[in-house]
Amino acid sequence: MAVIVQEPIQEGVWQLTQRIQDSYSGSAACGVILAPCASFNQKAMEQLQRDMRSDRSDAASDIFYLVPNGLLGVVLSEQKLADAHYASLLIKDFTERQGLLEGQLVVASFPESGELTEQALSQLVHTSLQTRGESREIQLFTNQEAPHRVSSVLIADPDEVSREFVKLRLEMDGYEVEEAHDGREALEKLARTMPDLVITELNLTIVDGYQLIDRVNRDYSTEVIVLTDNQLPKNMIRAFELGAADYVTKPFSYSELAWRIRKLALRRM
Amino acid sequence: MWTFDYEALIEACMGALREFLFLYSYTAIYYVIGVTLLLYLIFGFSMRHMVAIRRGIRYNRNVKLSGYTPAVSILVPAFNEELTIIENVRSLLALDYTEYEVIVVNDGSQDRTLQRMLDEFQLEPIQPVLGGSIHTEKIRGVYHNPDYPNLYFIDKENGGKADSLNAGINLSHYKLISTIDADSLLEKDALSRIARVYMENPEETVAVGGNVRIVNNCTVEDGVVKDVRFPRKLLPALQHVEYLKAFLGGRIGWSAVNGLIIISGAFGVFQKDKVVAVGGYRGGYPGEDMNIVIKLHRYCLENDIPYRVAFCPDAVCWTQAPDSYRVLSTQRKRWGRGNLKNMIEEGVHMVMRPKYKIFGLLTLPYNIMFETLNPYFRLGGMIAILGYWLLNMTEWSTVLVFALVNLFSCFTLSLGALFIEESAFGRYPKLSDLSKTILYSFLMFFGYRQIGVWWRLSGHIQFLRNNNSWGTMTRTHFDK
Amino acid sequence: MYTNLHIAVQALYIMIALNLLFAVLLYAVKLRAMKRKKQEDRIQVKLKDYLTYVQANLDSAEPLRAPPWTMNDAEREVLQDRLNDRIECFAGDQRQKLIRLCDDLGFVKHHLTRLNHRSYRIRLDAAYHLGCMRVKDAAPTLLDMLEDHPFNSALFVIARAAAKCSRNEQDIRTLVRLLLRHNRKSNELIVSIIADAELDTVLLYTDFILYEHPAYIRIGLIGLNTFTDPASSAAVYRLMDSEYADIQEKAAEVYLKSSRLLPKHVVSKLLRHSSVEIRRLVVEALATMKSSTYVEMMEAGLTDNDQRVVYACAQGMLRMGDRGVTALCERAAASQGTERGVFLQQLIEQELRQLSIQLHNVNKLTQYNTLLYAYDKTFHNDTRIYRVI
Repeated sequence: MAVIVQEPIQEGVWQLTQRIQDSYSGSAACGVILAPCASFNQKAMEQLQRDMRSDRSDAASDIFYLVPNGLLGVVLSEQKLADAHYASLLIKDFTERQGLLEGQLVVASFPESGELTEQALSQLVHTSLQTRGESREIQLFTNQEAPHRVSSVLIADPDEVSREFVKLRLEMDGYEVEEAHDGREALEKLARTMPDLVITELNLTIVDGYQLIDRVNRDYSTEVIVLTDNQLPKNMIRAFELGAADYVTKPFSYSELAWRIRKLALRRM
Repeated sequence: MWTFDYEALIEACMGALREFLFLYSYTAIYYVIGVTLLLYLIFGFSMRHMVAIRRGIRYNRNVKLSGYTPAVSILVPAFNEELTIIENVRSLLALDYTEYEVIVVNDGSQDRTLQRMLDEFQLEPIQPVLGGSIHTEKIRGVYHNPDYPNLYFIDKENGGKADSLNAGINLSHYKLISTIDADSLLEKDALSRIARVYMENPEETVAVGGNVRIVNNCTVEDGVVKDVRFPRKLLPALQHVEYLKAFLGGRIGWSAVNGLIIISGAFGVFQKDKVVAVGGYRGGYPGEDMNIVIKLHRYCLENDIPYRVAFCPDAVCWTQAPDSYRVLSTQRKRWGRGNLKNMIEEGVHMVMRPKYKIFGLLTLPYNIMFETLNPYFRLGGMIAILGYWLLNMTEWSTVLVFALVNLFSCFTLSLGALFIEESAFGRYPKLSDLSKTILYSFLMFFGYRQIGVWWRLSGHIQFLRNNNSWGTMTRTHFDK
Repeated sequence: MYTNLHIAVQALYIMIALNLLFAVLLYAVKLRAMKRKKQEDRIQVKLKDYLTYVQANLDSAEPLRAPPWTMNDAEREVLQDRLNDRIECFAGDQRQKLIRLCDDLGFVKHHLTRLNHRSYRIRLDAAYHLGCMRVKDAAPTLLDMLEDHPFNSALFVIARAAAKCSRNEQDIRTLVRLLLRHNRKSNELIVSIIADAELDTVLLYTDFILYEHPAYIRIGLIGLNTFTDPASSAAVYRLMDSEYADIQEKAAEVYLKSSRLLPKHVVSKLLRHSSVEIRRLVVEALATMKSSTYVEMMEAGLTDNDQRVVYACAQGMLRMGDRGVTALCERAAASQGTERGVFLQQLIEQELRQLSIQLHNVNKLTQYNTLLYAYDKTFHNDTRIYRVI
């Protein structure tokens, strides 16, 4: 006779599914926030509910505590990712002030973060349980599929603003992303992770962008897109001659970059 | 009767001597007051200009000029630099600048500088296509590799630093040239910062100097200064405070009134056609970095060309300061020789002539009186004090008081330079760095200054003996 | 002497007191800077999640919302700085959305009031920030500020702000007029400032080159140089005969870059031009066309007096296929024995050497074969003609 052991994770996933099914109606969006907390009593829950209402009256939220996992869960019906993300800022502020937060918050909104399936929810709970620790950042969960042929990306850019932005957005779109802030780090990560695509600035220290493009084309089957401040036609020509697949100049728009990556993926098919 | 006469003569002599010493003491006091006031004046200009510099740094943080910046040819003279040349060239090739080339000139090195360069960058000999025609020593070969399109390497017979720079100018393809010592590290954005200053007034800006800082004990990774630290050894520490004072307290001010007399050979940018117009760098003698600036002033003033020699303190070049007494003394004696030569060769023709404006009326008199002739005044002062003491004309307390007044008035200037550093740049992060800098600025007056005077004097003696040698400069690897 | 000593002692006391005062001041500056740095780091951590929220949702339909807590002045300053960085880095709708956020946060209003402050320091700071946020309403005041501004770096800070805030072409025209009053030839910098305006500037530049004033012409030419518009080639043609050498040069550059077709008479005229730079540009332009019809004209360039032009010409011909290579070799052979002949032959041999180590590249291999064949044929080498396949 087999003993069915209800594991805490499965229990958590099941509870979460129930909560979502209550408020999720097919086409509308549904935001989910999970936060690892030591405990969460009824009073705190009411307090949080009030805080969130006062911030936005129209939002219907369901706050609950998954006891076996030690997770605070919030389901926001008809809330898109932007709103769910914003709500997570509130929740983080609240739980941190109360001294309850024990790790990173994980935010998702379906269908923006991918298709809502039981497997996606299970992954969500898993991610959330793994983030228990020192860091208190907010993490965006995604279950999106990156284009098949180009799914891992290395970004080499000394400029923190654009590097972090591209990384964040690519990750949201389901790409696996590595970053490097100089040419040598880029070459190291290139050798280690063998990405499908390298997005590089031309002005890199130690090993410059041209050398990087050249090396990538000589030794790897990786594509290169240049994302640079450098607008001189001369430099563009040189980058293409060395084998760059595309050239985007800063200031840039992410949608344009994403479109070019997809186009590249189609070409590689 | 004879005895009486004898005594009277001695008495008369003594009287004359006393009179002379008395007068001399006044001259000396006025000299000291004069130099101090002048230094304060220059420092005042520095302070006033600092506000503009701070604004420039703050409000141009986001500005990307790429595509509009002028192309620059970087000239790197190298003599026996096998230890650091590769790392330096690699770092120069990765500057954050749109259009530039690096021309390394091997000045007949006796070590493996040539071979290391050829191996590292797989350089091949090419047909030299020379744009300029300044006379130089024989070029043995010009090397290039299409994989590094911005790198050229000239191998030539030994002819000194000036000669190497001239050879670099002949090959250079762009209208601006930048001179950089092979043992120095340029910050990634140094050129673009200089370019911004240049672009504000490109026609009149004939030269822009960069700021030189001491790299000893800083952590250098892949040609980038990562962790800024105060030098641990005594001599580099003293040079660090000396450089701070000279560059921030002095050169900012001099450039503000367009009277800058020197752009450090370690890092500066020049209009090529002007450098060529004055005949290029002068060979055969040290001090070519001061010489070229003097010649530019002279050329522009004589031909009524509106011009400015600017200084850009936020464009930084990190250099190795000599940490042994021997090397430092050789360097300073060389500076002393160069300075004297420049004053004799160029300075005297321009000094106190209204035609040469600020440069002739302020910079040169200052340099001749308070830099070149400084050792003699100092020495005269010493002998005079000895005389006062022997003739019982003064008490030690008087001498002490005057010495202390002088010391503290000079120390104020050190503090002022530090104030500029802290409020505009703040490169040294720790509080202890500030304390150390203040301490060493104070210690500088006890021994280091005096030795400096002695080195300068020895330099002059060398000059008179017609000793032209360069002296060796031992290099060490950058700290890893 | 005694009174002098007395004065000196007093001076000494004053000096020591001053020194102590300065030292204290110095420490105060340092400590404040360190405190500032620490505070900024703390705020940076606090803002991190909010900035992630901003960046992650730059494409969502709803506007971005202010941080869910009341910010103090220091926090607002840091946030403003971070948002400025991002506005500069991103383009299009994403930039607009950030600007809207700045407006919602009250930054725009705040700096607009500061723009009329008594203190110049504050007005300048406000100008910078309004520029970053592209506040169109600030344009008139910013242009006013330039009206009697002295010539220094701050002038360009305000000018850049005014360009970023410019509402229309007229604002830019006013801006250029105000900057040109200083007569300093900072033309490249001015064009880089105009490039920051969110306007289409080709027409403006095409108009500028019709002006009498050489400074306008220069700005127009520098501006046009970043485009490759065939229409501008006709417009700049006339300027190649300008009385100013630098205008001739710039005009030739734009002309050569934007023309699809170079008429023979123009080329031969330019090849005889007194400026080395222009002759070199022509040769390079001919080479990039890669059309064998220009080979004949290139051959004329090989007889140039300046080595740089000859070099550019030879390099160009080496890349012009069979005809270019053959013509070059023939020329080199014809002038054998002369200095030029030696120079050309060595260039060819140098090219052969360099190609020979890159034979893994098919293009280089073909180039190598063509060149080697032509070389061996013209120089009548006794060695067997072979090809690498």
